[in-house]
Amino acid sequence: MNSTINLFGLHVSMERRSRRRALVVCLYILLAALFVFSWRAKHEFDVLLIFFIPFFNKFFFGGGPYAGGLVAPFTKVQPIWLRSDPPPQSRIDRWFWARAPRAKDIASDERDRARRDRAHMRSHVVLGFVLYLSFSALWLHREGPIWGEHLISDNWAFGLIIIGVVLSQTLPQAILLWTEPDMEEPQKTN
Amino acid sequence: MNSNEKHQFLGESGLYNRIAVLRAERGISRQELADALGVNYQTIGFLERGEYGPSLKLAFQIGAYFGLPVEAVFSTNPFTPLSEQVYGRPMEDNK
Repeated sequence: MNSTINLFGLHVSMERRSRRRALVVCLYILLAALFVFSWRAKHEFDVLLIFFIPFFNKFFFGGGPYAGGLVAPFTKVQPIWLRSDPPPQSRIDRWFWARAPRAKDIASDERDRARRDRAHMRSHVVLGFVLYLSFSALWLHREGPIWGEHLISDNWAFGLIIIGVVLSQTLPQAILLWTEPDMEEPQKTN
Repeated sequence: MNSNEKHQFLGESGLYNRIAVLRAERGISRQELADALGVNYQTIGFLERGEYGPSLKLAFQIGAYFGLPVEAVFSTNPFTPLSEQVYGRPMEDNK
């Protein structure tokens, strides 16, 4: 897990768990605001929300096949373009990355992968619970009087899909950021 | 609990280990050990505190790095002090 995040040149230390938790809360508030905005606009902007998720994953959460982000890539095998040491950086990457990372810093080790698996299991449980709860609430407030008929309006269906996509894409990384203890600096570990 | 046990960490892993002692003996930083083993330096800290139980592969790598059998580095029981092992005198006898 990276210890700093670079927001357009502003380097913010993320070694403290409280800061990472604050970041997670802020990001989910922002996503919720985007969701409400899209909901009120009858899902006209859902596509923007969906395309916003990779941005969040890359620059804030990580976990994808990228070197940026706080969480190490979830895959054990690095993409070819990251195997050189130091990995090549695009201009956009230089704006966002905290530093030029070494290839071994980018890779997930066995502890990272064990935590990744646990986080996915937890997020799977949470996602299932949220979708079950949403669908139950939807069923209780269904428009049609007959079971199965008019059960889901387009608005609700889109809403459920968006919630599912957002949570499935962001929750594992958010759980990792939330649960990782305070980090130690390498120079203090002799 | 004797004084040696106080410096050993059982943690969540259920394993005692001597990584911190061996590393200090050899004057190796966590970063150097992590680089040699191909893991993140944070992982070494978690291993030392017993908060992470290594895979068999990593445990053998650590043993090989220090030139010791794996049971000399990890144990499910508290380690006896190295001085006691070498000289065969429990600390209580010195009092």
